Amino acid sequence: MLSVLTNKQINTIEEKYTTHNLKTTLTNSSAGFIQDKKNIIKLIDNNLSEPYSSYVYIYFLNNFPELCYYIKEGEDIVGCIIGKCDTHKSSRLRGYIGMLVVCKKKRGEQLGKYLIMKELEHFKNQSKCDEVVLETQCNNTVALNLYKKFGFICLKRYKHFYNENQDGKDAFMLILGFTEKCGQRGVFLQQSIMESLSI
Amino acid sequence: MTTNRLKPKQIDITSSIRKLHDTITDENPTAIFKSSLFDLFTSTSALEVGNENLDSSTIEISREDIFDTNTSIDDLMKKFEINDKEECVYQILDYIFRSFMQWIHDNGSLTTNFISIGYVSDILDFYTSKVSILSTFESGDYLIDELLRHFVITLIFMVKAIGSNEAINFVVLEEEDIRLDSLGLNFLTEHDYKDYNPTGLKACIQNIKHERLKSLCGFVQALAQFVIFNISTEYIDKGKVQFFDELLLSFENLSKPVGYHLNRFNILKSYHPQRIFSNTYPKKQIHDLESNGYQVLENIVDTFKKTVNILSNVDLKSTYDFEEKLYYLFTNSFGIGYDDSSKDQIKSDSVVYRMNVLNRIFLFQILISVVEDIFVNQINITQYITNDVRSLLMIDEDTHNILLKGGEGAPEELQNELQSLKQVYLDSFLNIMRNPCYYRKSLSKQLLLWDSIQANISMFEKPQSPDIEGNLDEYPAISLWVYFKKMNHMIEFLLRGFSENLYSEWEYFAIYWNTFCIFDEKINLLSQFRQYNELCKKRYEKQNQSKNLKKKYKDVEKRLKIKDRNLRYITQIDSALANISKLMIETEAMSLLCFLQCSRYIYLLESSKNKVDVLDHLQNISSTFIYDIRFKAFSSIGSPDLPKKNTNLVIDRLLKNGKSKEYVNDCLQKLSLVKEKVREIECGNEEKKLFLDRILFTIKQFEDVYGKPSPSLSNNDGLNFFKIENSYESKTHEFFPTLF
Repeated sequence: MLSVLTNKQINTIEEKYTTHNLKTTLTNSSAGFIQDKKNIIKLIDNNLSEPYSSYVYIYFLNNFPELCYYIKEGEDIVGCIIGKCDTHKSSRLRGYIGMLVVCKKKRGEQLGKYLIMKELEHFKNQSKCDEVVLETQCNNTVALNLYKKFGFICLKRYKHFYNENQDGKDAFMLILGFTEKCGQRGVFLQQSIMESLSI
Repeated sequence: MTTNRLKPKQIDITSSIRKLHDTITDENPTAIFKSSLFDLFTSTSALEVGNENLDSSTIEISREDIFDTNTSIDDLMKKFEINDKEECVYQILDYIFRSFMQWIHDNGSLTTNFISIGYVSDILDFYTSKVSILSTFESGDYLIDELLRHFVITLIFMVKAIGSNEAINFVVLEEEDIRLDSLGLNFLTEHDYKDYNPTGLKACIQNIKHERLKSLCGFVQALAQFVIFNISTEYIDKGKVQFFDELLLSFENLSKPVGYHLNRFNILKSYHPQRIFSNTYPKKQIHDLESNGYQVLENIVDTFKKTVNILSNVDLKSTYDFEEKLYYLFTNSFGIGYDDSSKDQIKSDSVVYRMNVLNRIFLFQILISVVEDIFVNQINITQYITNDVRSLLMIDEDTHNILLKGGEGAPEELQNELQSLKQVYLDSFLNIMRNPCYYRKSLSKQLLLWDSIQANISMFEKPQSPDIEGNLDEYPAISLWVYFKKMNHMIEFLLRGFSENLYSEWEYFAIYWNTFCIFDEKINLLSQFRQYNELCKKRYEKQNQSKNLKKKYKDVEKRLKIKDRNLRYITQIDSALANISKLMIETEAMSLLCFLQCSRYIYLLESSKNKVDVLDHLQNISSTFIYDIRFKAFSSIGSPDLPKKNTNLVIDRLLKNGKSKEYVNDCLQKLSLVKEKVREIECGNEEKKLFLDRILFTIKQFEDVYGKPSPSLSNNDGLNFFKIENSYESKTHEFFPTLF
């Protein structure tokens, strides 16, 4: 993972805003969790073109609250990142960034970069992921450049990933590696796991 | 109330779910509620009922928005301001046909393009609820109630054939390549096209006098007949193409429409079908029709022509040419890059010359049949493998027979490997029918198999000896041929990434350098093949000299037999040597182009204001796993040994060396010599010729741009130093698209 924000930029964000983790919020107060969850969903619904079903929100926010970071200015949520983490091909732990939203009036303040940084640090240090992936529309150059700065590369192109979206249809799968496992094929990793078990 | 299959008891679960949902949230927000009335997905869908963003049934449509199919012909003429009755119907049919073409041409779903047309949705809706075909639109005119109705039904039969054949989900993927996206619709499943055809559109055509109307209806009828009979499992006659001459004739007679405003017919379409036949959300835009429908059609028919021509000329001996022709025919368009700079990706991706899904389905259905063994176009896949090996290497009759019989007579382990070889060979063959993105993903999977087969087969062959002459009989032929195939897959896997825009500019050097290294190894391997074949040839020529034959074989008959066999061997070797010579020229050209790109990269980097930024970035990423991921498909491959992560060391050396401009000029000089050799290649394969022309075109472009004294770098945005002024407003890599 490459460093994208300077310490000065990080300090500026942390002085102006408060950053929260949904799991911590849940531990502190159920009511706070419910309220913040509702506001996170509202922020996403208002800012992303593709609507998500309630199942998607339940899946991400209830199963992986620790992978949801959000930024508040006072009581208002101005940005959030949502992710998940599970085993891929029975061989490595793969993090996934599901959504990243910064409200329109706060764009340009590096909040997106800050949220990605927090999420990637979590994936790397706490979840101990071997790699992180995400998808983004092929013509979304802003998002692509943002992720590439962190060291993501486009691994695959998915044809018609977005179903007749307003302005796009193909997507890139982007990937960032954290451990050596990310560069090995699943089939060989599975073999080594089996071999180590038989020993 | 009693419940049976015909009268199911309806239960509204939405209110019960909402109640359950509301009761748990405050006390225990992560708790789960469940009931025997619903499963997880039904419950989440139930929560979406009435949500304007998610529930397609909330799409607001007024009665006026839905086209009334009862509209009389006089009203239609008034509405579209067309004085002639038949001309009016012609223009409506033309619009319906183009909407169908827009769906087929990869531009959105069936619902937004075809089913959104009132005439289509009425027929489908009626059929779904009554399981019988709507008998009239009740407009009061034959042209609408019979001709137009049969025209639409014929197109629906085509949709049915496309949506329900074996190619779907194998080489053609729903959603990626074709989008039926319709919920609960029945595409005339209970009806047989064979029964319908004589009394349907075909019967109506005879009564038409309007020339263009007649030709359009005639063509659609012929297209449907051709497509349905050649791709539907129930009608297909494997290896035999049906109704092709009829298609060509009707296409020749097809009148091209004269200019009129297509979009005034948009009132025929509405969002209503999205509301009732689809669960997609939010409301999908109904795009205006592209004007290129007939160009797309021309491309489809032209590809049918070429495909049928190739299919009809294959025999047991010519499978190598057959494969090569199909390969270039189906993959030449993969080089057309995707324009990701455009905001409207749907519009920017409407390039006419991409391989159409109809052509891909047709080839798959006509070629593939699994009888007792794997057959392609009625020829066993082992025949293809044997001919492919022989196209490069001399193999004796014993090896030839073992290959042809799929390993019969060979050790059991080798037989198993040859079985795997058959599978991967077939999958590589089928790969040309996939879309470019899926094609590249499949290459990665196939590489794993090619690599393991190479390693396993080589265990049955003696290790390669430096003294080939003294070990001609032990020379490891099959595993080296597998190695050759593997390297081709590796090269393709890397270079195809360019047209998909997968690589960032700072990665170009690594991609080109690693590809260059594979080309280098490929040249070495081809040289070995040549040396081996030449030695074999000498051996058989020597053996065939009368005195030698007489000395060894006293029996005249046997002597003649051996002489004949040796002459056959010599002919085979000559053909292999000719193939190798062509491949050497191509490989040399491609290798030089890759090296030229690397040298150019260094040269641009030296002249770039962002040199430090780029070098810093390259330095930083060397401590990450970026290259491990990028070359993951090669992670198990030991040979050829590639620099991968160490590519940065090469950049350092080349920068220190400071001779990049010299290398560029040197490469250009060498390329101008190679260019002549490429021009001299005799090629009876038109599609392959297009590929060779692209090599020549690329060399010409490089000479024009790279031959200039100094580039003026216009873009100093971060790591994107590659963009150069006066480079035809292109990025440099676009001069070097995927050259396969």
